[in-house]
Amino acid sequence: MNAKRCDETRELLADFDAGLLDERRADEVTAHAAECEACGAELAALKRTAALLDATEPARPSRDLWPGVAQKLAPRQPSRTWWGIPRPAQMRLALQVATIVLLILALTVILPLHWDQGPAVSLPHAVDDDAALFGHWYAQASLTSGLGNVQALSLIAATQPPEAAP
Amino acid sequence: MRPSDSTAVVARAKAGDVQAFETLFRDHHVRVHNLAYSILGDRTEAEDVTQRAFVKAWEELPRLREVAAFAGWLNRIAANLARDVARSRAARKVPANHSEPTGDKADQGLLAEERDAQVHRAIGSLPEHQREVVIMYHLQGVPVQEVAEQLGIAQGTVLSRLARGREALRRKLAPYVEQ
Repeated sequence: MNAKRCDETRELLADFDAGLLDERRADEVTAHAAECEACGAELAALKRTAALLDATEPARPSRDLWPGVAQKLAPRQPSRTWWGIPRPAQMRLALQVATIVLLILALTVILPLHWDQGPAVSLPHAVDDDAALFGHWYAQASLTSGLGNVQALSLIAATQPPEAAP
Repeated sequence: MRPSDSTAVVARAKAGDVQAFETLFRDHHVRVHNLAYSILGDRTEAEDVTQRAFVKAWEELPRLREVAAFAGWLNRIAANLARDVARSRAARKVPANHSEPTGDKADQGLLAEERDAQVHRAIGSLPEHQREVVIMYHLQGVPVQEVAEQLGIAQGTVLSRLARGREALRRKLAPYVEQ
């Protein structure tokens, strides 16, 4: 008997037994198993395996297991209470969504606003006043006189009030 | 039970109907027990796992989306619990309390019992997807079409898994099937 043919047939026996082969291949397996003793025995063993499984009693519990299950079943929450509040699972989801929205808001709106104010630097009063006075003069000179930066700065220096002089 | 009826019962249980859940328990508990038994080889542990699997299924049922695939989903819960017990037992190095018959081997009843125990152990060694179809089709006598519907898979897939499972079992059960 051709060993290659036997190997090919053996690979197909389980599918053949389960009815998974097309007609042509099923006929080939049938013909080979009929003339090859070893492959025929293998097919018979497969059929006996199926028969053994069919004859095997399923393992049955020794007692009724339902009472033990029933006493451990927690009452299920209805999907929505009569006054319309979602059940806990939905409430949890809503809370999770709200938390995520708040986090996004905090990151995109609230924190940038806070950062725009910049760090609070406390300058000595004198420096702070001088800087304000300088800014005022510079801006006024630039805007009202139409002068350039150099001229505006010269004008400020020339018109500095005595109390603001260093 | 027709699959459509089964789906309706699962939907009712999902909504909190305990009576519907008891119907599911009655329909599926033997299979679940067999799955657990094939993994654990111990009837008492298998009974405990069966009960825990149904309690867990009740708790998780509201999150089950495909009610038609209830049986496969329940199988996975039971198999996971059984494997946890087996792992815990292995960690404690406690041998499985296989329900092996003792006494006069000539007694046909005892021989049959021993053979059944061997078959269950062999089934327990199969990959999960083969084990569940073998138990449903051969041990419980569920037709292929219904196995496919209960597990949410194609009939061809059921047949293919049965073929592979039987192929493996033919080798594991050689003393019983070779002449």
